[in-house]
Amino acid sequence: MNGTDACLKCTICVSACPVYRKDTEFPGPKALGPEWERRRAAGDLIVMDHVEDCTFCQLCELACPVGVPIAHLIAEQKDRARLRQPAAIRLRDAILTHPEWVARAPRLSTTPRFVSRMMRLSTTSRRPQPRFSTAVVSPSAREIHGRVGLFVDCFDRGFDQETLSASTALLTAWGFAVSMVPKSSLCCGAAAYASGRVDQAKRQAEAMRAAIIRDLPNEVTALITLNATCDGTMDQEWAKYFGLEPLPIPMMPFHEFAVSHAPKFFWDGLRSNEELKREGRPRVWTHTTCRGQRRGDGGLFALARRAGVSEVIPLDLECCGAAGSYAFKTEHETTAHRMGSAAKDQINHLMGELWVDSGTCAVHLDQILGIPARHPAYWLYQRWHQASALKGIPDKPSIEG
Amino acid sequence: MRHVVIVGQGPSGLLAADWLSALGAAVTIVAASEGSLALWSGSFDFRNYDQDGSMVTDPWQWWAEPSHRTFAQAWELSDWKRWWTALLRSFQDIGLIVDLTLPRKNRWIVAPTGRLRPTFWCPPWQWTLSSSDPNEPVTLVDVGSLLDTPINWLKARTRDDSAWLTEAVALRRPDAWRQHWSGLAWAAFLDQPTGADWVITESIRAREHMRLPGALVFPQVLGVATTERLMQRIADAVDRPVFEYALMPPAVGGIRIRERWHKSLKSRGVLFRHGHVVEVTDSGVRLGESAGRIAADEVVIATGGIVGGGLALNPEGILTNTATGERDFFSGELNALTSVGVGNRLSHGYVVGRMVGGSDPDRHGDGGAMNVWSVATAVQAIMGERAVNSWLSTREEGPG
Repeated sequence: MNGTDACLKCTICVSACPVYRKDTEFPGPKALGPEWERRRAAGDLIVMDHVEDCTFCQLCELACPVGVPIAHLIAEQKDRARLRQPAAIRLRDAILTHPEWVARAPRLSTTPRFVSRMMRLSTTSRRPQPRFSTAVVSPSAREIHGRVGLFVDCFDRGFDQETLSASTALLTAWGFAVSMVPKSSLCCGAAAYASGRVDQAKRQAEAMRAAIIRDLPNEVTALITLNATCDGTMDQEWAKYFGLEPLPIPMMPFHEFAVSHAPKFFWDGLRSNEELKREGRPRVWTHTTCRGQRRGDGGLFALARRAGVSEVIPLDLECCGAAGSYAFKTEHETTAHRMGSAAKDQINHLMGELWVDSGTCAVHLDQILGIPARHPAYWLYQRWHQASALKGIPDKPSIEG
Repeated sequence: MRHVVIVGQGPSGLLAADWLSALGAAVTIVAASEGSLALWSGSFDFRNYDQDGSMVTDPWQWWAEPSHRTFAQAWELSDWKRWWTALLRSFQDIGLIVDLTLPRKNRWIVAPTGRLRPTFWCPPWQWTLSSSDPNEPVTLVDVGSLLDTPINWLKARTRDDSAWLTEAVALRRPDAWRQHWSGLAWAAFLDQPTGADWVITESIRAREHMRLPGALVFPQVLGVATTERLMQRIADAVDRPVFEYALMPPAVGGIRIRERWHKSLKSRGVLFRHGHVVEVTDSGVRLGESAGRIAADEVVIATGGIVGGGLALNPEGILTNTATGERDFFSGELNALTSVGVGNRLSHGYVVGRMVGGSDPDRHGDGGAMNVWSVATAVQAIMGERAVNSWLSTREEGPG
């Protein structure tokens, strides 16, 4: 890791930490990361209280003016703190850091209450329920612009086939052949690193990388992602912290691909439908998740505007508190719910929908804010489907050059 | 539509984004880290010290002196008035409760070091004094256990200066208090209902011990998101005005402004892009780590001079990375706002911030003015003076 000793003590990371604002016991990223690292380098091996309470949102690292890997230092400290934890928590975390197991048997996400209590699994945070594929990929032939890979993350594989099928349907309508990778259920390593299981994360990532390369057809030009956490882990952290080579093809979040690659007829169709029934259209809120902010904030807003939505409100929320499996842990449920509730004041309208670039965050915000929250691919497909049905808009250009 | 990339998200970057987006530009902010607002109490200096280090009490008069207009050649007092008003209107728009009447003279604030220092404008929560030898009675609140607070210095000063009617009251620590709490942790606690209830109850209890009739002045801990509501509740409970003095970073005042500004800019469609700009060309910027290019008609460099690799532009128009001393950052000529007037730009790229024009804001106390002037000058050059003038006229106060 580079820059571990570059801290200037400017406290800007503390100002960006969402846990520091909601948990008065939390000592903050500066104390748990660079300050702990300096003591460790001097031979002090003591781990600090509350180190596990970091969500690994990495907003501290985005804020740091000198590039200290603050969250990754905290993850190293978590690694050392693991041994002091009770067996029940270690067992629970062994499961939560293997989302690829859960994705293979999603029904298991509903555990009986007594099991949850025993395993210190939150009984107040909503668990995801599997949603099945509904979108229909139009078979009509059209000009093919190329082939893209669609990255299947653990959440979507296990719980949101609906978003996967919606994404495939849209990409096909835009003229792209789609290959879903990896073919088997694997994890990029994000969950394990967040819980301080650094070596396990590296093993998971290696297997994932090998499977993507094996399963991707040669002609694929881009790998499209539906989950900001996996996207950030593979695109940036693999090379920087996992010791892996970057993937040989560029990665791009679905919403960025949509803005840059969806054809004009698609947007025209959505916009005319939006204008047709402007009255009573749902309000759209957007939330760019903490890990999505690595690429920037405002992309979901731009997407909704492009689709003709007249009223788009970005949620004033840096991290919603779901943070992978954070909200599913008993010891974190209060903080996680407080973090998400910070946006409650902005939900001042009954009819609306929330566009979120991560499935687990969507489940969490749906519960806390009481508005339907889904990935933007799902919402775009709904609108496209409706526009096609209502106005007879062709799903391919009617006039070809 | 003009697409402008702004590099940096400190006060001048956000101000440029605010004004440019208000004028209809499509704005993308690219920043490698958070800006310096978390190190800043929110005050704006106009001109605090003369060349010889003596205090300036009337900055309007100072700037009216023709020999003082070394870099802001084109600005008359009426220009300053229009742009300071535009700044305050922007703060109103993001949700600060701001009086649009511009200060006529510098006022005094307690700096985080405990010293009194002059400033021109500060946010409404900040406690200010009309002179350095105050005679207004004041009650200082000691919440206890805050590191680096000026309260002890203030108490000592009170003993030395019998003319200053000051007293201190101490609040009992809340149960939730922890040793490591900074001003920001206190503010986060007071943003929660239990914290707000604690401070109201304790203020009412402390009221029994207040003998002076003046304002009640807290350290800057009165919430981040709920500040105005909380201050009003305390003021109602103790029946006297409530203010704050600034503390060491993380600076709650600057964080309040940063969060409201971000929220407002995002809701206007300003894109925030995380990235490290490694090259500025006449077609936009290139990002490091193979993150690609962002096309732009214009680029505004607002990378500041406070934290990280800030940039300084000297009067010869040479741009230097203040951290590394590196000078080969740009592949084009920059508009040296120092030596050329508005509309005379040499190539793509404008530099804005407190460090432009060879200015020395730490010595002269003119950083706020340099921010406003440099951003306004860049905005005029990018959007055209006519569009800017008509927009400004809608921003000024109504007749009378």
